[in-house]
Amino acid sequence: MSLYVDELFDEISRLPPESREHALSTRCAGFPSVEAQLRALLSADEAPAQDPPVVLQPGVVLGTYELVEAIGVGATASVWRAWDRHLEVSTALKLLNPTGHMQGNNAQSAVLNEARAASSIISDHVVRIRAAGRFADGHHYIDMELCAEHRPGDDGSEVLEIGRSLSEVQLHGIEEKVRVIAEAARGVDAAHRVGVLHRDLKPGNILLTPVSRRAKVTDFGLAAEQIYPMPDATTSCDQTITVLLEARDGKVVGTPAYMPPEQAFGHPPTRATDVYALGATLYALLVGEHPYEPRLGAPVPALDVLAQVRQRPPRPLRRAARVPRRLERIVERAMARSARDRYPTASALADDLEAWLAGLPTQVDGRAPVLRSVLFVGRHRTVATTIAALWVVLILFSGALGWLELQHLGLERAIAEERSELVIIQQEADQARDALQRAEARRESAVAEAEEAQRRMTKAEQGKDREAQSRRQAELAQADAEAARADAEAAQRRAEAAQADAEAARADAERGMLLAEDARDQASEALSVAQGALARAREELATSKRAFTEIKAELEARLEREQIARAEVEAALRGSRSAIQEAEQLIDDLTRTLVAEQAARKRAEQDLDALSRVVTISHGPPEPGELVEISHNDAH
Amino acid sequence: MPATHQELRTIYGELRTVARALLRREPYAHTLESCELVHQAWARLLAGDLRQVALDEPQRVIALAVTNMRRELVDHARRRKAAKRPTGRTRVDLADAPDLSHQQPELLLAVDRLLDELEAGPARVRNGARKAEAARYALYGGLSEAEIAEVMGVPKSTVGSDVRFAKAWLGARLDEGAG
Repeated sequence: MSLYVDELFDEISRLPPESREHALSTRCAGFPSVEAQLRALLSADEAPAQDPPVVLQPGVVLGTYELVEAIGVGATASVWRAWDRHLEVSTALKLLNPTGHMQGNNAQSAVLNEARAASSIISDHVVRIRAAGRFADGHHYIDMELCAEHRPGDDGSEVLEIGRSLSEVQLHGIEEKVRVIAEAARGVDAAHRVGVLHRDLKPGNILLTPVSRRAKVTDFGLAAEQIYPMPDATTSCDQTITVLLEARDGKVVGTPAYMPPEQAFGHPPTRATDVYALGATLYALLVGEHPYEPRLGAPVPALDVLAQVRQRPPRPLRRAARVPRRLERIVERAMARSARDRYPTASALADDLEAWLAGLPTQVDGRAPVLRSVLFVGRHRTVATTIAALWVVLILFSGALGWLELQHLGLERAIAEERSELVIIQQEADQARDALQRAEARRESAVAEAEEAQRRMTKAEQGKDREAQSRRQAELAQADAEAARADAEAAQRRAEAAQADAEAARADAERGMLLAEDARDQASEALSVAQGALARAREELATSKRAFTEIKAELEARLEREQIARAEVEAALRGSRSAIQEAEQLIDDLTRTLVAEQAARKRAEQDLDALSRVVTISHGPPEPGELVEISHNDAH
Repeated sequence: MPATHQELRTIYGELRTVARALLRREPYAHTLESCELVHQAWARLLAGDLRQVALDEPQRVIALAVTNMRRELVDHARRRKAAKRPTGRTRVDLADAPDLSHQQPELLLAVDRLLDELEAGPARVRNGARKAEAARYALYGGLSEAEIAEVMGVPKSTVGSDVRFAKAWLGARLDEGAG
């Protein structure tokens, strides 16, 4: 069998001190060195702090603090009014008992967790944390803002008065109770905003400043970290307790009388948990008893209340005390058994409590216009009538204002139009001035051009003289050309006459033709001379050519007319010819008819002859009537 | 320049804050206070190549930081060694290493030596290295048992036993040495 020091230490250190000796002697029998080592280890494990814990009493100095008086003493911690010798200020010092359920690192982390959680909250309604740590004697501490105020004494001096929790002070009337819980809800909401849940809200954890009577929430962040005592039959239901559940790692931490059902079942706490606890605190303030405590009954043990919370809702508020119906609805909503039905945030609860105090509609009132107006009139009895009058004035005034506004708009539009027209006119004037300047410039350049043209004209005049001279020459040439043309025409006429007269005149005609050709050559020569001499003469020549062409066209037209007339004569001739042909045709027809009649007559005569022969032989001569009729039938 | 006692306290506090942030996978930059020394130390650790490591394996960075812290504390104690000597019966408070380093430097050095000894695995002690490591996280890193459990990847109950044993062992050995 092998012995391991660490294994034995692990086993024996878990045993209660009274049974360790037995375990040591049995397990280490025969191994005195191991036993000695284990004893040393266990001794070191249990070794107390260097300084034994001091007995807490007024006058004791711990670190920089001097204890003055105990403000509150609980199962796991006590709160002292202390004097901070460094800063020279009174402070609330919470000291965790070094013995008991918390030791070493657990206690330290619990203290630091509370300090961290609470020190990040920014609110006038939360007790501020100034410092946290551990004294040399092993006491863990949290240095908190002292909830205290100076109260002027009768003799003129001031006395520092310590604020007490809501479970210790008397509040004046429903309004103050509601206001204090609304303020506490504001503080809790500030904690929720930085992700800190309280988890143990109750009258004992809400302090009231003694003079200004303001609520300050304290003891944040402890519930889950610290280990609170397990309850027994005598534990009251307003004590913070720990109940271990059967489920693995499950435990309920909190104060049964103020915890919602889900917390009583060990579910993780939410913001709604704190909302319920605020509602339960208000319930307790209004009624004077815990929600689950029967009227006039003895204090109910914590575990009984825990069982009740799990099973059923608390007594209805209206049966416990005379509370206004609208306030009762607020408490009912805050304490709804289902977290979903509660106010979603502590600030929503604070809003409704403040609304109730101010006589304003709350969320739980729903939409009730009549209630709203009643509340309004209740808030402002004289103001309400004044407001009605003001409404009338306001309506009249707004009407007048509207009319003025319209007038003003119209005027403004007119002014805008005028202004835009003015701008257009200005633009047009500018354009006109520009145009005028341009025209002036154009006029000047035109004058310059005119002068230039004058000079050119003078020069052209000189040229014109030369032109007239050449024109005269051209006219002369034209006259020559016309004369030549006349000659040519005469020659042509003569040639035609000669041709028309006889063969004998052909030589003359040919000579005439030659002459004419010569003349034509001369004319063209003259023409070319004229062309070469003067280009301007070409136009006149073209004109004469056009005249020539016209004459020629006239001649041709005449010729055409003659041809048409000839064609008409020929057509007439063709008509008479066809008439003659028709006549000849008619004659032919008549002739054929005649011949046919002649042939028919001949055949008839032959037939007659033959018949007369037949008749002569047999019957004598026939009746002339009968025979004619027969021949007629044959002819057809 | 060696760190002063106050600086050591600040670094120690920041070490724990950042270690917690790392373990919770929270952004850690804004948790740093404006102590120049701490900034430089964490900037070296977290802004450089170690940044990704810090995101993926915060344990390694914390281990490294704790090692650095240990060196700082031991150095500080060595410089102050002449001033004080451990006397009398000693209970080692593993929660306040900077004060220990400053006010009882000899004690801190002794504890550090003894932890080395525990790490080597004395006779009849199993898992000495693991016990010493857990104790170092508690002493030099100021980490809670749950945090040590996560950094080391061992059950929390094991860390509890290890640390308790290590403390008792240190106490016994110190008493032994003193006596």
